[in-house]
Amino acid sequence: MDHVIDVKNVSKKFKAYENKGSGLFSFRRKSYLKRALNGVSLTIDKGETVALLGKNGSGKSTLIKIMCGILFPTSGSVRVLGLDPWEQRISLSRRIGVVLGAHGQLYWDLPAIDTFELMRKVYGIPKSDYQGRLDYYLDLLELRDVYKRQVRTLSLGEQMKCNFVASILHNPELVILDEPTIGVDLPSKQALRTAILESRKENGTTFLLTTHIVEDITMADRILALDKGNVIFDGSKRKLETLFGNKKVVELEFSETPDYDKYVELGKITKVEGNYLRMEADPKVLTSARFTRLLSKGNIIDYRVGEQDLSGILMRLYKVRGAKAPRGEGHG
Amino acid sequence: MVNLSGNFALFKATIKSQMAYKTDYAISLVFGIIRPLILLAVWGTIYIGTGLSTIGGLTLASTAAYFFLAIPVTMSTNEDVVEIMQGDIQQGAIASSLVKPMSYPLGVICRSLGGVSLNVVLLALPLMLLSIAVFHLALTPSMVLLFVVELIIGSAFLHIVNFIIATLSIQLTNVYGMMITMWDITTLLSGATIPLNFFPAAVQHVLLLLPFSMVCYMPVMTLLGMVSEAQVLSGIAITLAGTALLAVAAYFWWRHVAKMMGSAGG
Repeated sequence: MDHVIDVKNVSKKFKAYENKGSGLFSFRRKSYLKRALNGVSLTIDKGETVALLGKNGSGKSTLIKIMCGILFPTSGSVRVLGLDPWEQRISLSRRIGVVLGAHGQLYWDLPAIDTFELMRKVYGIPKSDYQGRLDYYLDLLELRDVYKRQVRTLSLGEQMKCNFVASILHNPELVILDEPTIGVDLPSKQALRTAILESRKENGTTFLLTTHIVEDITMADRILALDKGNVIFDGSKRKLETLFGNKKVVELEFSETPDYDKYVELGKITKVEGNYLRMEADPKVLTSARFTRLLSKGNIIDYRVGEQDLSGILMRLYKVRGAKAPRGEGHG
Repeated sequence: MVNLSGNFALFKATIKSQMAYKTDYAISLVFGIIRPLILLAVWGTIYIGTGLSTIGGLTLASTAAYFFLAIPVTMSTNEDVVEIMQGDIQQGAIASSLVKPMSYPLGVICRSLGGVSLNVVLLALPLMLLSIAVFHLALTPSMVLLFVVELIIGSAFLHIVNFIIATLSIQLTNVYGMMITMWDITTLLSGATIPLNFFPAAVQHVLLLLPFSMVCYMPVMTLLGMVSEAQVLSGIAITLAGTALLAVAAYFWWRHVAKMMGSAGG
């Protein structure tokens, strides 16, 4: 089967600068060769929802821009929907929708409806389809009171939602979202996720999204993580949890302040507050038998055992795999 | 295939967007009258001071008419290509343009033409009609036709030249200095501040062989009825040839330089 996205050994280097000092007269700057991507290979299949994760500067946006034909890779090959993004950018653009979080496509001085109309003309969307889709998204994202107001007067979240609508009106086969929920309030975040899930269900749309929001990651079938321009993880959320989330979070509440030192051997204490203790424990160390013995000691009045949260797991992933990733830049 | 409907929509959206700044147009209209008065004051002083009745074949009255026409003509052939593209690159907005199914260079030119069209309708046309009425210019249909053709070709030439300069912002990010320098060169070589008649004959001859004369001097002199059709047609041929050559160069240059984009806005 042809992959929707097929990236083979892609690297991207470019010249960047850094100032030598921070004073008023520190004009001298040093150039260096920035390696944004370092031989990245990956595939994404039709209908998949993939979360592309990574710390700031890990190469996520560069990779996305190469996939869209905005940037030319220094080496390697990319096929998106069977097309070469650089050589066939215009044909590819008709079939994909892109939201670049920090760089909206709305006309600042006009209401969002003017950008939507522009998109209708640019993508040649039939009027009946356009109106139906527009009505659907305006209701879903609660934009009825917003879309006729000048964009400069909208909040960041409202702008993001309008950007999302502008990018998806032509019903693309593949949607690439670069941090789509920046500045969006909680109900709108949920509405955006609903829009993504419904589009996937109704049209089999493939989604690739970069995000730092844990809730966005939970709707992905697969997680891809980059660090210093290298793929450091590619797999399901379950696999990520198995590999990097092998700790249990144990919370204990005591009737009187205990000797906390006794608990150090069971795991890493992460919080102590009065009679409350939280720790992360390896299940191999804190076995059920040992935990039962612990509870029977008498002075524990309440307890909770849970999984490590995703942010903690990701932190561990970046720490463990990121340290092994080759450094992506060299001064020259 | 060129996305005509998309580019036209972009052109219209730019006009609509710029209409948000109506006060700016009102101010520009006033400035449009003041500027030729300043130029006229300078050259009037020279005429009176030297006691000459004509300079380069132009009387003081013709010079006045020249300057009052030069301002709206320059407004009509001017462009915003460098400002648009440099802004796109500095703010990273070029990425949002490149994900649309359209040619980016053509899109930039359409956005620039949107601004120019608004200038023509709101500023240049009223000033031109006012000047024609004040200076009692007798226009024939063929003069008007040639004038319109000259404006279109002059504007096309400037768009292409400035597109090439604008592409340098991919490497340099800020090409404001180059843009101002190019504007100064264009102003001088096109006859916008000094009619080409005022230059020595040899210099004038060279300047008429350059496409820049089509940006201001030739259209103005056509309206004043002071150039022959043969001169105009030869000017049009020169500018067309120059523009076509530059367009081919710009096409290949863009294909080369676009690959150098490093981050397109982070």
